[in-house]
Amino acid sequence: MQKVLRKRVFRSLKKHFVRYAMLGMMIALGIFLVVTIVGSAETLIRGTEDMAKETNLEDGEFEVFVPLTKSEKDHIAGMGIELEEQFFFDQQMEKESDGTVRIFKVRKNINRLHMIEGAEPLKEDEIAIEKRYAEEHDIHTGDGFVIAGTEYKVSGITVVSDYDGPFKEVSDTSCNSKLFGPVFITEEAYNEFRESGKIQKSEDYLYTYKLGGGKTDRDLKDYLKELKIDASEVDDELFAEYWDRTGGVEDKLRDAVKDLREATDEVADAIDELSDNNEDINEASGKILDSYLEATSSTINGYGMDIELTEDNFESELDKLADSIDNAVLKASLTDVKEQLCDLKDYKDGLKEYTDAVDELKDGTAEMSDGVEELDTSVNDALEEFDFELSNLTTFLKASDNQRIFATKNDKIVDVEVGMIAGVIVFILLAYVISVFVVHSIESESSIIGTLYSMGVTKNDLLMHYISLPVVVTFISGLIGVLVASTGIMAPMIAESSYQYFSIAQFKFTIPEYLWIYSLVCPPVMAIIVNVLVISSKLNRTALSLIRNEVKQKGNNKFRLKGMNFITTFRIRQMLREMRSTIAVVLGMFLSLMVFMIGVDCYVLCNNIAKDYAADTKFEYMYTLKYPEKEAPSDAEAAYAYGCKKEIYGFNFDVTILGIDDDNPFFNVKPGKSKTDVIISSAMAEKYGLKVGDEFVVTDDEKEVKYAFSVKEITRYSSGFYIFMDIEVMRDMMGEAKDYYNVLFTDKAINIDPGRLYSTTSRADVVKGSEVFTTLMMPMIYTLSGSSAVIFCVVLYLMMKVMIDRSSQNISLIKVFGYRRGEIRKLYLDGNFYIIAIGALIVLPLSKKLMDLMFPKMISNVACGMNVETPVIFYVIAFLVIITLYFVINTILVKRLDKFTPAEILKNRE
Amino acid sequence: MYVEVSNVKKSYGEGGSYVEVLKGVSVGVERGEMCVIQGTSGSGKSTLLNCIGGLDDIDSGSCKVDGLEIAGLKKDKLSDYRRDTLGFIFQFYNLVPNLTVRENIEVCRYLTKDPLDMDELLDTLGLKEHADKFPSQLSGGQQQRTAIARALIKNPKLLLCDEPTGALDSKTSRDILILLEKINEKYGTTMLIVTHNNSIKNMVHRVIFLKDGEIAKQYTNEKRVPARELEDL
Repeated sequence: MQKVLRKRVFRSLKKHFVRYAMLGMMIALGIFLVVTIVGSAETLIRGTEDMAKETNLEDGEFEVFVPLTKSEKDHIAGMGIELEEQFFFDQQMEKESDGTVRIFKVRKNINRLHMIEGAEPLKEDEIAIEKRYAEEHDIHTGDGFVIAGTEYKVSGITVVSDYDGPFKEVSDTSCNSKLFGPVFITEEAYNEFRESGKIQKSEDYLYTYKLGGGKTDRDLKDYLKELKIDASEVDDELFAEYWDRTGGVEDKLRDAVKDLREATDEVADAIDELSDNNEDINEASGKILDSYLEATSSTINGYGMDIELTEDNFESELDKLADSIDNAVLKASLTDVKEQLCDLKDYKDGLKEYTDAVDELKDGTAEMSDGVEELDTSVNDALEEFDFELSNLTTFLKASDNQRIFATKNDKIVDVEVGMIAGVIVFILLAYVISVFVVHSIESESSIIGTLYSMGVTKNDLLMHYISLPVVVTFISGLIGVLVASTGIMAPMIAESSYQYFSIAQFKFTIPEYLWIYSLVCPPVMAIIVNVLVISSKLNRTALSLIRNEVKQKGNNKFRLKGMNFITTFRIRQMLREMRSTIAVVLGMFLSLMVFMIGVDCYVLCNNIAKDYAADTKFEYMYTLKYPEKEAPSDAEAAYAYGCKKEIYGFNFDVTILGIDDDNPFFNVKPGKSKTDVIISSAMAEKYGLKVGDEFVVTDDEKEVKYAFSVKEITRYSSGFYIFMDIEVMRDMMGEAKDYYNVLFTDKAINIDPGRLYSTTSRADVVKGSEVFTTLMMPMIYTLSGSSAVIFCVVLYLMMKVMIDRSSQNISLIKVFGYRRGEIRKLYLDGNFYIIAIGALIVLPLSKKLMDLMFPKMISNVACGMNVETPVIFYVIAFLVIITLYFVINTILVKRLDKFTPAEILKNRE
Repeated sequence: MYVEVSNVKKSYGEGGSYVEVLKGVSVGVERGEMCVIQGTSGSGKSTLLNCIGGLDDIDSGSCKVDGLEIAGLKKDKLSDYRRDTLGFIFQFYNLVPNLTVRENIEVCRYLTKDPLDMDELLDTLGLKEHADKFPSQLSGGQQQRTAIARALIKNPKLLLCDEPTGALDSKTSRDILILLEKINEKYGTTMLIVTHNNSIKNMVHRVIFLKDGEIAKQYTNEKRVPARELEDL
């Protein structure tokens, strides 16, 4: 029996060739697109991973103020960690449009060069140029290349894994290979260049490392942080000035306290000495007065008057004596004596007051001396709390935190996620389409199945029979899809934008094993599952029921439709009858729109990023400072930026706490004085799903602490994950000086010594960086949009065709009655317009909403906000496109109506 | 003659599978007549009906209805002919399963500007209480009556019936035949009835016997037996 049934399979294929060809084409197309998108991404991901292994990619890198000593390097080697010096100079090219080149020595072991063409430089006058910079400046092997007057010959074009994404600074938002590129010269040439005096900026002492000996990045970092240096060793004037102002204040403070203490001690000694004579002075002045009083008394007694003058009575006694005598000469003498005695008394009292004051001074000086001693102790205690020793380590960057490394891979992970999800969506849709076909086949062959049943053919035989064709078709389609994809016919188009942005070698398009399995197994397995489920229920009817092809009116078709005209009634009945196909059409529209919405969200996100970045970035320049001057320039707004991390979906992103003044004109925020209630940027709110009132935590890896905040307000700011705080509150929170800042925002370029800068970000950079997203995503957006339109058309065509085929008997019947083509179209096809129109009105926003919910997960590795707000006009256009496609397909299918002849009704029965 | 078929030939297939179904058939039916076409399986009776109904082309000959030559008419004209002139009744009713009785009748009512009164027709055919039922909820006789109502709603001049009682029991068959007879009398509808049933020939005006694609015999009933009196249905 199986043999006979097998023959029917081929006949069935022949009979429904168009149907299966379309289905097969759609599966092949779906597989082709998934394999091409995912395969291209995997090619780049695996290619860069292989290249990383081949060139011995670093595990991380760090920079120091002064090169490590031999013993320090030996210690690190002893930890089992391999180090390689990869010092460099940044050199601004003579022509401004040529940007800056970063001059490295040719690497020996870590991050080795992978030559795209030519060879590594071997001679002193040879240079290897990084691929993207070479492309942007049309540089080829053999060309001359001049840096600061020294002419080199280009020995080859290279890529290096640590500049996969050739960002100038790791904090840059985008790469610009027109203005930056690494170059490589021999060690001798490098040393000669260094000694030539042509260097514009101090050498950067960068070390790369490969972990070993069971040590971790943290172990190495902990060791490096402990390496202290004398600030005077650092050969950077700007650093020295900065250090004097910050870390160098310790010595000044200690010296000042010491001076104060010494001075206080000297004063105390002097006062001591002074107070020692107080008693003698008082005694001597008393004796002088007493001797004068005694001498005056004896003189008066010599005149026969018994008077004894004392300090207390000499004035009154002398006045009385003068009053009692008439001799004018004697009277005048007595008055003179009295005045002299008064002067002496005043002198004595004055000396007493002086000595009393000296005593008080002595007591005060003793107190002052105690106070200065306390000050000295307190200052010493306070300074012990701070580490004023200078760590040699300036930056430490694990490979996983370095956006230059695996930049391509991180970008392409999105494509893998998107491609696989789009594939699953398409397969779900195809599964449903197949089920519609199968149901149609079984219904149209009901009497045959019933007859076979009655002849003893088992359900399993029939099941095998009915699933064999879909399984074969889906398998072959999958095979065709993956084989066509394996030719790499469309891969260059998909990967082109990556090759034009990232600095990577040209990889041969290859399909990973799992995609072969996915392509060859998924479609037939899906066909088996769907068919078994659908056919089983259909084959559960009795043989007689099948032979009679009993048509039961399903509950949902038993509506009484009154008060409508015939055409409307008929269309509604037809829609209800073809509910399965109707659902397939709407589901097809929904799922193809889901695929489309992936593209839309990518596009809208990129577009919104470009638009919002431009709108939200109010500053023209942002200068991130390594060594800020004491006073911020008057034409700049000072701010304090501090980098933390926050995790979402397994990815850890940089979050910047930005301390600003309330009146900062570049940000529309008034942070207030709270340390916990903060304003966050809209990008951060979108990415982390934060709302006002939510609490969240960011991690400070450097200090190994966490900061908890509460969202007070969300401000429109798209270009970065920011937490806005009041700068004074932030300085206090982070233990910085009251005038500390490390970022300057300006509305025009200002003159800052390049040596002070970590990086400069211009508004133009930000906007250009945002546009890069669009450029990178466009191929995928086009592919997804195009394929979703194809999927929609094919599903709509197939399902409308199935609807027509299922109604072939009735169409023949009404032709018998004299219906014309236009009338039949009105009854059987035009009703679908309402399904499509109403379906589109529901499905368009629904698919968008759903995709908006799924999208953040799909691009979880991308550090940007999630503004996927779509203009209304877009929905209007999408709706019109759907309706247009419907009318095109409707027009094509009208011709099919002619295939059903009126005589058909006389041969068959419903 | 209202229906005038002259020397109609019709064949199917090619080479070894070539079959000449009608071999120069000529018949005529007057307006208002009920005519039965009888014959064994493969005699060509259904093919003849299809040719008259414009459902099938003829190879040669002439087929006129009310003076209109059917042979060679283009599709649109054939559609017009069918919608303006014909009504069809089939052995297996061919009702649209997802339409109610009323809606099935509406299918043909839609095609004419001057239809019969729907309620009166439903009443006449005993379908009033079943008007909102679906075919699957009706008996075979009720379904066939619905099919008749559908054919009659546009008041056709010529009613083509292909085994109208073929799927019905004896009592129901009689009811249907009585109905057809009544319609013929009431509306003067010309009827061509293809049937295996030998008794039906007694109730009609004209009887045509086909054998192997040729007219074996044709005659006019001098004395018709009313449908209700027919035996061995």
